[in-house]
Amino acid sequence: MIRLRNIDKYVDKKFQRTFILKNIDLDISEGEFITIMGPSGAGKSTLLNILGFLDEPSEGEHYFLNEPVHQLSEKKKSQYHRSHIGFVFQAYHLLDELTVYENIEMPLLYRKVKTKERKAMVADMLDRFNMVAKKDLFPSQLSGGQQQVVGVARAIIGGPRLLLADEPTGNLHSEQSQQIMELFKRLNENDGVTIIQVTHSDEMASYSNRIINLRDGTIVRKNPYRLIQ
Amino acid sequence: MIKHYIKIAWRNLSTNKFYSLINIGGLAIGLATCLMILLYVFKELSYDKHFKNHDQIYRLVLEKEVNGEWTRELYFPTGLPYALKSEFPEIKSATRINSFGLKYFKIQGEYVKLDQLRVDKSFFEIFSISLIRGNTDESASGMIMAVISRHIAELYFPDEDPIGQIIYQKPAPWPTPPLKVTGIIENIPSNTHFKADIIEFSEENEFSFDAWPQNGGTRMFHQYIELTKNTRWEDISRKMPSIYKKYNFPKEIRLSFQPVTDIHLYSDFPQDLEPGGDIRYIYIFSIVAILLLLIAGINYINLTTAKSMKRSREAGICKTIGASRSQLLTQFIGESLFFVFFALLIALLMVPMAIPFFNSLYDKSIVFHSLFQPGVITGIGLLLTVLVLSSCLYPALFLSSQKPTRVLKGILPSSPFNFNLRKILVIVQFSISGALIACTFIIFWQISYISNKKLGYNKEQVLMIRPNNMREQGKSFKQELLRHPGIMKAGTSSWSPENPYSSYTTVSDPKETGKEFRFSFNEVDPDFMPALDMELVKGRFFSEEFPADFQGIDFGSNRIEFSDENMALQKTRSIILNETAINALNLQKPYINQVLSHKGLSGKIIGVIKDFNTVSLHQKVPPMAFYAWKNPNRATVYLRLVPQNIKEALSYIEIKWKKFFPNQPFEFSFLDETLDQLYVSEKRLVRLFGIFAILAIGISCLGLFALAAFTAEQRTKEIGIRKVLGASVANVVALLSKDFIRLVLIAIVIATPIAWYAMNLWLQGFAYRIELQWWMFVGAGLVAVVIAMVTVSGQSVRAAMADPVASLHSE
Repeated sequence: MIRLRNIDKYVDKKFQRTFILKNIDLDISEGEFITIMGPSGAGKSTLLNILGFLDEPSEGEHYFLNEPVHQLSEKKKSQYHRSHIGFVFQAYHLLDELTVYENIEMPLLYRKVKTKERKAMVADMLDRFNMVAKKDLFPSQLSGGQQQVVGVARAIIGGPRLLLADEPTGNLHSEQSQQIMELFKRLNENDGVTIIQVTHSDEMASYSNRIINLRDGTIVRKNPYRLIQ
Repeated sequence: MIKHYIKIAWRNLSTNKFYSLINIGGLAIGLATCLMILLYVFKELSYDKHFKNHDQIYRLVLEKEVNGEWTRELYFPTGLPYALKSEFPEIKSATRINSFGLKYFKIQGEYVKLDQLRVDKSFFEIFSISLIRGNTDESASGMIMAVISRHIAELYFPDEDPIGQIIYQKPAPWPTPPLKVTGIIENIPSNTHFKADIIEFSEENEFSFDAWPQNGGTRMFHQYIELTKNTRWEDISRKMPSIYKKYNFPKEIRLSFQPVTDIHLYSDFPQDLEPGGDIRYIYIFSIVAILLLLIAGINYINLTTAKSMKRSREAGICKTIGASRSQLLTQFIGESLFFVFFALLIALLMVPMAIPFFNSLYDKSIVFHSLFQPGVITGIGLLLTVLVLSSCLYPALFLSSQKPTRVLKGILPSSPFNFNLRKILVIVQFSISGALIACTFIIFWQISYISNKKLGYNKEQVLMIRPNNMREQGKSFKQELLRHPGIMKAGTSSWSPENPYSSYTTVSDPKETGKEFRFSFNEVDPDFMPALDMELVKGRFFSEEFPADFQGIDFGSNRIEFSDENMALQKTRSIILNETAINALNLQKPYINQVLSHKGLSGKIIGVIKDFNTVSLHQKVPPMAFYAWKNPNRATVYLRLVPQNIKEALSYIEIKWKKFFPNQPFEFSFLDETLDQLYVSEKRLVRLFGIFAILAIGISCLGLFALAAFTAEQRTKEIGIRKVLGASVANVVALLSKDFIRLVLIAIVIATPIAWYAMNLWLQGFAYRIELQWWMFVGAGLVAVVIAMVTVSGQSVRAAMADPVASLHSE
């Protein structure tokens, strides 16, 4: 599904080039549940953003469903974005001015889904996540866990094939975290959604079926923490 | 989708009530002011355009060369336009208008004052005034034919047919035949360069014009021509030299043609039928309108960009869930439009409330529904487009171009929205406000200067009355009045402050031909100058004891005798001159008893008085000459009253008036109030400018207030840290305020030369004016700084007083 070859990401500051990612080769097939781990500043989020088309690599090749992303136009990327990829953030990033219902509905609006269809889809999503009673509340009226559930609902309403989650449980306590992870697991197993998450937590990582360790912008084949010991 | 955008916009608006209020409120006030000014400007520009063929109608203007300078006049020999019409086939019609302004008429047995116009029949051909009923063709001997306006017809003849009714004039020394109403016309629109409740008309062929009259001829009519279609006035103008020759025009005189639509804004003849507008005010107010809108627009930009951090997060989220750039652009521009239209809606509610206030202030009749005409709507559309483009497009473009990865990580969007842009915009706002404040101050100082300036006479507690047919009665009337203890002095004069131009004559020295002076000639009785407390420089006032003061032609008598004997006596008749006259004629000392025999001015000088201002202080005191009169026929009587019992004196005067002049309505005015009338337009200007300045500084401060609040909010953490490290409240307030105050100071530095330049230009219009001083600008600047300081420090103090524990904890 995804193939990265020799991906570099760097920033040039004055006469110095700082690499955030260097020489990344990565293959991800459909249906995988992957965790990216690594210490702060290892380039986890950057890698995730590149995988989600939010950022562009400085060099290298990036294929998504056999399409060369590094050659796609902005418009085409935006289309892929809408139809194939969903995002979940650590800070939830819900729109404060919109209710739960409206937040979940938002991606459908951008895709110009018809009103009737849209209503059905949102209702279905609310039902699935047991949020029906809370549909008219604003994000500030929800707990962190509930907000993240809305975040996940929003991310998957468009039926994405790839779900990217940047520390989805970073702001949650353990019980809420487990709920979100269970949710991910179900999505992965029942709906076949490919999931890539970034996390610091070994516990959360244990839900996935592959772990990629990053350190200083490169993939470490073995667990980096064990190396330090 | 649009519903959705509106929903987001509305929730944005209501969750940030404070900013929204300032944003929309400021914008609405700016827009409302703009709309008011737009209404005013359109009204002023619409004058006389309602006449069907206004493009073809011209007023004749006489141009005369005096001392190498061309002066312009409106009155010239009557009959001239008909002569022109017979010469040029391009002239379709010609007519003449004359007006005495408000005149008394006796309708249904009562005296009423009506705006009167005297015209030739052809007036109705040129000016498309619709006749509701009746005709304009009748004629009858011994009567004047007249039409009245619908308003007058409804007011005075509610139950009967006004046509055929007879209206009487107030008795006067000249024949006053009764008027017969032959028709009713539609009310003359207020945007016309003349007013008329009643129009008297007669046949054109009353006077003929064969050659330029040697003695100047009868000059009392305004003369108009209408050109045929597709003729331009230049075509006529080119052929004029042959006419000058044929009709024997003096070589220093020529004619020019003034388009009727120019009369209101481009003409300032004292004889104009209505006091005109001023194109300069149109420019000034238009500029002010744009500036006010600019200030309001800047608030919008500043507050939008200040909030852009939050909004760019929203943009980032929308991008990650699939919004395209164009969708975001639509949303943000749509939101701005929503804001602007909301403000417009409020402005449209404000305008009808402001209109009565404006009308009373400016003596105008602006109506709300005139907003809904194509020109005004286009104007509003244009204004809004500019506003939306300038204040919305830029933030929208910027926000929609943000990279979601950056903003979602909490990295502030940097580049164009750094604080520098906002700083510059704040400086612009306060430069405009500061300049307006300075202008208001200076206009105010100039006006108090002219109203308190020594005029050369005492204008307080002087009552003016104007009886007709005084003659021999005049003296006994005066004596009778003086019997009352409340009346100290009484004097009569041909001069009156409302009509100071009535008697200008050209004077020239026979030894120095080519040099001419416009002298104001006035006739006074011996009591006039002492009654007004005028100051004598040399010699004496007129007095009954000197028969030579009254010798020569008696212009007040029933029959003015131009006998040889009288003419000779006239040459040595006593005259009093003012200082300007002495200087103009370059007379040598001793002035007293010099006998002058200039062209237009002859007599023996018996006194020199100090200059006194007869007209508005826009003009310099003219050279003036005074003759004594014995029994004036029609004059202004000046009565100096004792301040304590003016009311009593007034009722006494009225009783005496009724006894002496039973057929004349009693009317009076006070000299100081009449003089104040001369500065009406300046007083309006200062009031309007005051309002504009208040609005400008108000809107600017709203923006500054919100910006200060926002900055304080953003720097909460910094303030917390500083306080933990030991900063006092005063330190923090100074820290937060000084940035803003510095901006205001820079703004004042920019505003000062602009205001200086503009005010210098305005003051040129006054012959007597204040000198611009540095402290005036410092004063205005201080006002701006203090207002800004109060605005900012409130927010700063609040931020500085906040508990650092709470503010640090929130991070």
